[in-house]
Amino acid sequence: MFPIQITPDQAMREAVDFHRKLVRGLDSIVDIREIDVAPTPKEAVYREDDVVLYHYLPRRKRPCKVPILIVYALVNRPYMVDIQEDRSMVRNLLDQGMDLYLIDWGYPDRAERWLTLDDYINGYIHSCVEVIKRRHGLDRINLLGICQGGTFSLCYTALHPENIQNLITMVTPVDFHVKDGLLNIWSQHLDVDTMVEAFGNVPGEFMNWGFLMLKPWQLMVQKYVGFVSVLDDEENLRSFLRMEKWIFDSPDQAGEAFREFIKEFYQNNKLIRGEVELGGRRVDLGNITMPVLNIFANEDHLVPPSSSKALEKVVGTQDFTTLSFPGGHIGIYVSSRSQRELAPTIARWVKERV
Amino acid sequence: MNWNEQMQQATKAWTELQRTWWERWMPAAGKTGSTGDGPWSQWLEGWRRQMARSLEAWARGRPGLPPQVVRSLFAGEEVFFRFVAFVSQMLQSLAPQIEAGEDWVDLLRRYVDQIKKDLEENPLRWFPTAQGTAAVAEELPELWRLWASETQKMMAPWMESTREAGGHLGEAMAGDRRAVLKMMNVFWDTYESTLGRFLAAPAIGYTREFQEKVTRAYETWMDVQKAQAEFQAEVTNAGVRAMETLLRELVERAEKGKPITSARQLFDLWVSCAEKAYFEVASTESFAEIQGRFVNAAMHYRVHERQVVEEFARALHLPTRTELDDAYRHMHELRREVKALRRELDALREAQEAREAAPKKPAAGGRSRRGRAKAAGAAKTTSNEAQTEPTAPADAGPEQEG
Repeated sequence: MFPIQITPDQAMREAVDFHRKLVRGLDSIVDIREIDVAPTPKEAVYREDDVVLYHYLPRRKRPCKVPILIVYALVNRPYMVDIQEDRSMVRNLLDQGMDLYLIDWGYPDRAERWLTLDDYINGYIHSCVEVIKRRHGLDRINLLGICQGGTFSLCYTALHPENIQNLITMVTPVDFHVKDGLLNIWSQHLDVDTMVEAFGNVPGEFMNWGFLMLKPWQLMVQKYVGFVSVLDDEENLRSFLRMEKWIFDSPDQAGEAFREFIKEFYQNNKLIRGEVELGGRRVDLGNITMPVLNIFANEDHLVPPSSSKALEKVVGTQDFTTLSFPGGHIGIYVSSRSQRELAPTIARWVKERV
Repeated sequence: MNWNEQMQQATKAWTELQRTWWERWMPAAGKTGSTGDGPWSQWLEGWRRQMARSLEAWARGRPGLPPQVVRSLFAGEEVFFRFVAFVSQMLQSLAPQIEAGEDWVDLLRRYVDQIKKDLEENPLRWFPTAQGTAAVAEELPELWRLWASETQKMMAPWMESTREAGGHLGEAMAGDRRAVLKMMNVFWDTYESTLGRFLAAPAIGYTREFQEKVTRAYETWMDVQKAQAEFQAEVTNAGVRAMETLLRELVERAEKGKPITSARQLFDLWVSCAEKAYFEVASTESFAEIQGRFVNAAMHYRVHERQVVEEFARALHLPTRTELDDAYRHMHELRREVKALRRELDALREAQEAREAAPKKPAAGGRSRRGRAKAAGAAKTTSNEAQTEPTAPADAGPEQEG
């Protein structure tokens, strides 16, 4: 039996239908005009340089007494955790009675080229933690780090354990030398010194090129072919456009911090070896003795699960919980299942420890 | 009807269906074995031309529609249509032979082999951006002109001289040493007639430095072209593997009796095969090295390009990127210093406030030496802790978002 049972007229009809849907659908895009993201109300409570600390308005009368500070990655914008009302980790956590803060790193311009990891971690994160402590009259708060923000949170907690009551890491790279991630393999051959010299700040577009090259056919071709089938459904169309906006809304990376992150973490894997130094102090993950919840996505193509799972062996805590979640690096925030399960799991874990 | 009769009838019906199916492809087949101008190709070309003409005008009339969205969508459609056209041509090409009773697996494999060979020999036909290394070597003057035209967009007066220099560079590459001098002279003349008119004539040493920068920039640009060709070859390699994977998947489907029944289904299978094959190639050390060489070469070029541009900027009394970066670095260092001082000041202020708020000591008796030491130690500790305190929050006030 010949495995392709398509006739010429059938193929032509399919192509014409496709084109008709596409052209009709484009008018729907025009009608949408604005792509709204980050719908959950929040207020800015602290600013330092271009960094803003937001406090989300609680959705329960008596929220959890120890707030959570969300530390997102420098790559991409943090509104992925609040992309739309019905796909919002933030909203779900607020509904579970959590009190949430979020650091917005802003868009570094050329003047921020010299920001170092020390500035980000011992500077901005530390400032935000202190602000929250003062606002709530607490000695310690909860920290939730996402992706690169998770790595930063690990560094911060290791350097300032007295400030953190519970640590949650999500899709966080820890072992940068596992071989099942393309980023880990590719980064070994980058001359990052020349890159920073050439770019100053590494452009968001360049970062995007790298991410798209991880799955070029799916991300650059198939996605847009599939998109045509949702063009006539306004809600799906809006969801698609929000995701597109997020994917390509990529801040430039402050040159020095980027250089350090690639060299120290990706190329030399110093975090897991306890050899990273920030502000003249060694980052010893053994100092992390408070409870840790480590969440990873089991189909993550950016941060392989094996990279995240390595955390358990290097932290000093006796209270370590692992949560493997189905889906990919982004699906963990936006999938239907994560809307149902992720926030309650985190909230339950936190409530048991405050 | 007994079982045998049923089977015979079913087989006959199926054979008839297959025959009809092939017949529908046959009239469109044209010359067998051709991968060229089928009706699909013509239609596709027409569609592309029409799209190219109308896309910009269409998007212009819709201000709410980001142009990149339209481009991405039509690019997706084009790939999809190209794929359908490719499959259609393949089927048209194979139809007569399959109809004549040849083994389709063997035919398909030969067809794929032919495409693989074509991919390797004519990558441009499949990847319009690809450039073979050999072609790079043969087209030095043209590449020089291309580089120059890209660079000189910013410096129009230099365009003509660079074009002329391109010819001399070609001669130089061919072994004519005088050509290098001619090329330098061209730059020199242009410099004299433009920037040089406003500046005192520079010394020979200065010219040599400038020439070295230009030459080095060109060399690094050449490195980019070579590295890009090498990288493209690796991506092509993944494309070849994808075809093999697709063939394997098709054979498996045939064996399981699960044929592909729509162009979209076939397209999705092809993407899945392409992605699988690409991942296999992309996760090799050799791919990472080649990709690294490409990216690093591009970065080296950017650095050298900037050096040339900065020569022009300096001559025009414009600040350069290097100068600005240096200024930003000083600003950053000052900002860090100010923050550290402010923290220290806050710590001292807090310590002072704590001392003032402390209950007054008994008037008589004084403190023992030990007590004084303890108090001093406590004050020191407070100060150190406070040094790690952040800047006092510059209260931004509530700012509703979302």
